[in-house]
Amino acid sequence: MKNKPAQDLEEKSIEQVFPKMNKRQFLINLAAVIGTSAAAQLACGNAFAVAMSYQAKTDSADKSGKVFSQYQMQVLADICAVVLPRTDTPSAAELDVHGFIDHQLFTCYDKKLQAQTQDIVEKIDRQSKAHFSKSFTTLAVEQQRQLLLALEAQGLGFTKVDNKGFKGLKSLLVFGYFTTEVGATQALSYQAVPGGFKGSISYDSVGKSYGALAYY
Amino acid sequence: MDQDLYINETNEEYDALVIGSGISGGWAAKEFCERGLKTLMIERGRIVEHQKDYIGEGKSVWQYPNRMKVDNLLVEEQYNVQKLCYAFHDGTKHFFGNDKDYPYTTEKGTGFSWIRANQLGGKSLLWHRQSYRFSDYDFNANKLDGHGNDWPIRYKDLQAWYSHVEEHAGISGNYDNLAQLPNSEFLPPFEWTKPEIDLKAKFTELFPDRPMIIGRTAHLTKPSKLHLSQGRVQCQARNECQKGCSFGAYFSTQSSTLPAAAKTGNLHIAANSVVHSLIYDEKTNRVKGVRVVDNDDLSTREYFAKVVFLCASTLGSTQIMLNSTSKKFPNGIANSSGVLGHYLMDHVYNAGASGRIEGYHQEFYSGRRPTGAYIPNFQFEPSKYKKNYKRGYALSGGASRSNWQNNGQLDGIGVDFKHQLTQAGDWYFGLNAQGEMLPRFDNQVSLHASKTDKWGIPQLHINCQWSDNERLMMLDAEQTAKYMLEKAGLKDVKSYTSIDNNSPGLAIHEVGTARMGKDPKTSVLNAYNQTHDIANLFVTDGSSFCSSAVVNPSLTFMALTVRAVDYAVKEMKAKRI
Repeated sequence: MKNKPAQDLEEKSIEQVFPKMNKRQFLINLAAVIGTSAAAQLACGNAFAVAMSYQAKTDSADKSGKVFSQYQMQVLADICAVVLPRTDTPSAAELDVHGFIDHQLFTCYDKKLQAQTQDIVEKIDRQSKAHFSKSFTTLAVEQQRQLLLALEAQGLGFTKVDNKGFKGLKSLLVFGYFTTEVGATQALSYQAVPGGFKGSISYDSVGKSYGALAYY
Repeated sequence: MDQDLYINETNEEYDALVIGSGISGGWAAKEFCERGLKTLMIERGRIVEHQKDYIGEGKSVWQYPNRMKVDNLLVEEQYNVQKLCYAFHDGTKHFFGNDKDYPYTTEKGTGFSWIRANQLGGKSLLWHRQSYRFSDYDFNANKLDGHGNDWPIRYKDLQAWYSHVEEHAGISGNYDNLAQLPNSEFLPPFEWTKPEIDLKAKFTELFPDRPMIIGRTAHLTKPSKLHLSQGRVQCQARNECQKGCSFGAYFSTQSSTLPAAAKTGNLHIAANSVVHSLIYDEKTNRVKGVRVVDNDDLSTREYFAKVVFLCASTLGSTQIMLNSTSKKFPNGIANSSGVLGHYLMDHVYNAGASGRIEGYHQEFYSGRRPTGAYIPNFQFEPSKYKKNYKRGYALSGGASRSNWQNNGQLDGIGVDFKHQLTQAGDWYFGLNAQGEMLPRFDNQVSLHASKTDKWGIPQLHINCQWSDNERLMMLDAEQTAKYMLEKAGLKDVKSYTSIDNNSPGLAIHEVGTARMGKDPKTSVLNAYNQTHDIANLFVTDGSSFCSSAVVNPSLTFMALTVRAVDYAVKEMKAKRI
């Protein structure tokens, strides 16, 4: 059975076998140990992905991430909290969307987008210092909101390029929020198995947008 | 599944070898087995068992490591072509071929996106399930406008076979009674949304030649007793089909044809068996069997049978034929005509328009409909062609409300923005073109002179390009779709063409390269998908097509295959094979 080595590895946990290394090195080493074909099989299954996957943490903002520095992570956490604040559902920061953004940028996007997103986080903090003489994380929430509104309006020294960078970050932030279990099932209406298609129902009978989609 | 089903080494001479296990191979195996023939289905990839091996199914987005996105390094190293397919994501990637293992080359200045699904079930697991019959307008097109050769069959030759496969597979749709798109044997259609009902009425009034119908799709909207006996139940409207469906609610080899074939006791399956070439016996002018390289350990073995059906996908079957050379057939088996590899086609899906529908804010839907609206080809005969290009296109699309996924980039910060994202937004309706590609001799596949894959098989070299006909068609389709939406009162209508950004291949409707025809000098196969040159060799997948037509091809793969099996078995009984 060609799955066997993969299963053995899973039992051991991949991090135990290959501690701390970048993803490319990881794939190369994995192939060296169990053969290219089995490595591909394994990488296609979930073991590799799970080992590298993002699990929500409570302390993402207290340390540096894979893309962002510790300081940037704090700024990012506050951006998350301000863009999607706590209402009857948790805020994006409470769901560790900042941690997810760091993970997702590292895992699924290229260096250019990583740099672009770092730049806008840095710029937000710089403009905060320029206009309020305080770092973004020490601003009052309403001031933080005003600054981000100004960003979208291209005021307070923010440019069109900044706004584009911010829209990219925002997409990831919104995606990160509504694809958490809480975001998908509490903030939205979640139909895992709809049971069939009805073409016309009253909107009020649902009252929300859907959290489960055919394609993400 | 019964473990006795799977074999590896064997000396048995089978009645029939079926190479490939996708839509065509599944049907060929079922029909042979049910006629009492000992059948060996040969699959190059691994075994995928119904339900058990749908490892992406039933998980919610947050349970995926990267929320359904695929790791970028993995994509870069293994899926650089496959990633272009709309259905490629973290829940389906294991059903796509690893590009590293399946190399091919393209002629300088051309491109072709070859989407692969090399496992038991093939692309029947990944297909889009849209199911339409060809009409006589399609079968007549080549003859009437002189592009390509004349199909050797007409609608009446396939009609009963369409019915035969539809009853078993289960096709939902409405009896629309259109000359250009014959009815199938239908299960009930999926429902329309309210804005679609009103748009449909508006289109009927404004464009009476362009009826909008509900997409016909291989889903069990109301399973028959036959479907229930196959272990299949009603479609749950998840629209996550390509992950695999344990409800068996859409047609696949696993859900439908394989269990029927296995039930007869006449089926064996040789998985992980990469067919290298066909074994040809010059004395008897017959194919005796196949040479196989093991997918995993590269060892070689052979399988033998009285009749051989190639159902290995359009390019797969042609690659095997090109690689089967002998003194009599130095340029590929059954290729006395020299057209093997030529006339490659795909569909051209590279234009469309969409716009906002005002109102209907109290209207919503429940579930995710696995089909949409469809406006069949309305340029289906030469008198209806546009002046600057030949043939036509269909338009497909549908209406839905925008959501957080579409609106994440809108302006807004804070409570109101968050609230807005949790609510369904405005209704939008779009139409996308699905056009016919002309058969052209120059669009050709051949074997690379020196490069081979890891099984030692020469790589396929693809030389395929859009012509001005497809380009002009897409420009027209863009304008037409835009005009129709604007006339119907939609707002903010936006349109696009993308033909210069996309190589052929991505419709995943590659057909041609071993075409049928009446004349053995200009075609590979006769009217029964039997090679002109060798009586016991048949090719029943998309490679047999003489034209792409406009409609999705899979239903026609099925009908051609079952008809060919019926013919082959009769010929075997009459001792002509």
